[in-house]
Amino acid sequence: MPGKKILIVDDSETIRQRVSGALENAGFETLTAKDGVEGLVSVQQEAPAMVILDVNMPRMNGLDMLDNLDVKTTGLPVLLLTTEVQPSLMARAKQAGAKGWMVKPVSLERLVDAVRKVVASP
Amino acid sequence: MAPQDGRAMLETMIQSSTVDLFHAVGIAVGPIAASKVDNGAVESRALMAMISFGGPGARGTLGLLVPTGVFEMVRQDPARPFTGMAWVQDSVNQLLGRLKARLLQFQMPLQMGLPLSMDEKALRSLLSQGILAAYRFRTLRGEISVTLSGKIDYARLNYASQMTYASEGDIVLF
Repeated sequence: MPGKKILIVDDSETIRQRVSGALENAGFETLTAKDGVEGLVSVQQEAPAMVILDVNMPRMNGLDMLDNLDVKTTGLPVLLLTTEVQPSLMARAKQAGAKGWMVKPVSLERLVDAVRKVVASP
Repeated sequence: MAPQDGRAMLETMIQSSTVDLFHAVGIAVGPIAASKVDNGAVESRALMAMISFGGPGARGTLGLLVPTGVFEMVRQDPARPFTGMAWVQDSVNQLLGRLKARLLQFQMPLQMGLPLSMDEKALRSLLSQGILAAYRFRTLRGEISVTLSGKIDYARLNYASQMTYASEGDIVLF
């Protein structure tokens, strides 16, 4: 599992820095993108093992990016990381094939544990 | 809910959300005063950000004003520093997220805009539109202010305890 490439898509520089730091300390490689458009390009070019995805972002939000990723077909694991708590949004993400939903602010230790579980799951 | 009760409830939500937000990054803050509809109570700070919101019964802008000294207390990884402006934008986004989660329990769903940094001119423009309330908080390194502007129909706040929502820090694996 160490060395697996994780893409973090979030318009917040603070979140990108904190999450990538925690994952790299845990042995993962990280990539970052500032919105859904950059995120889609990064997925195509870098083929990450997993994506951590914010919901509210400029240009393309996380749920629209999730739809574009077509993860039910590709199998790419996606975890949402957001301030949103609305059940309807969580249901939409689940329906689109996301592996989970994390509500900011999340403990970085628990986030790394969740990433390990999701990356390891078939 | 009677409008005056709704207003007091929202005030409690904003104060508790702000205290929780800063507590999460290791900064103790204490509310100083109840809301004041007084633009003069809002002093410009080095780090300022705002975020818009809208929904049934509520439309407006939440502002967060923080002195540099408070940002200097935020723990950072020296290898991956972030700017104070990025941090205050993320903070106002998370503050509205917390408020939104609390308001959902009162059947007031909000749509969030994107956080924007605010300079002196933007602050004056926000204040010129009139604010509903300004909340002040004391820290070891100066005062934080949270501003609320726009229109809120406090009478629409209606508690529904049977609804369950995810909370801050939750991780739900599907």
